[in-house]
Amino acid sequence: MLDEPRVVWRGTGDARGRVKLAYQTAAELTGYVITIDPARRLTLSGTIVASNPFLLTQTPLVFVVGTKVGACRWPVQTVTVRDDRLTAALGPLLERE
Amino acid sequence: MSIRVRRPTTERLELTDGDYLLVKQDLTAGEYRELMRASAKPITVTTVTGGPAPTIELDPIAAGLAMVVAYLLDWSFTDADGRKLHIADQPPAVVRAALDAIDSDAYMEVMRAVQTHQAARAAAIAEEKKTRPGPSVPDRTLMSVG
Repeated sequence: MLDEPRVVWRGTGDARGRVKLAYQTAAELTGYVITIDPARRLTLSGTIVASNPFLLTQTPLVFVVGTKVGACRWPVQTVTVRDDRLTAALGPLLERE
Repeated sequence: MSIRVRRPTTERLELTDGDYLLVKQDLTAGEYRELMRASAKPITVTTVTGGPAPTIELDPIAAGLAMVVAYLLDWSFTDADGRKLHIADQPPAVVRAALDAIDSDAYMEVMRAVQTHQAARAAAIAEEKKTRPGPSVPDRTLMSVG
């Protein structure tokens, strides 16, 4: 049983994660972290290095990270941007390519 | 009111030898402007008063490459060792470098495929416009009455 949010994914070094609308990039993040809370809700947070404010208002957005064996994708349910920080509620992992 | 933002959609273009390209179905206004910018080269012309005036003109060589880069998202091409040439999600400079690295026949095939796709989409969009309700134009005959 989880007592507090736990990190399930962390982008280290210069690893970049992307919030995407199909092939278009709505935001590019560094230092991103995905946590899971006791209610099994996933939350993404990271530092924005590039963003498109219009695309961030569109749906459906997905958060994509590349790995050595392919890409992992999560559906983005809500997005909040404050200064250079992006926070998003994510749905369950969609797929590994 | 009408929808003026298209959902980003991809199309797969089949090439010879079982290869394919994955391309954007259409460009956004921003992508189109970037295509125009990348297709032009600065020149200086002489004005009627004899002075120099900076302007731009279409660079046909750059325009072909710019169009391919604007549309291309991914492909099935591999290097000599059979490893996929990764261009998906790569910056334009990486895509341009990959396009420079493939052989000239392959590049011409890619360019023809993208040109054909662009022409087909232009025709399809023109067809869509015919069926889209437009602004009501006052009848000139009636306007002249009275």
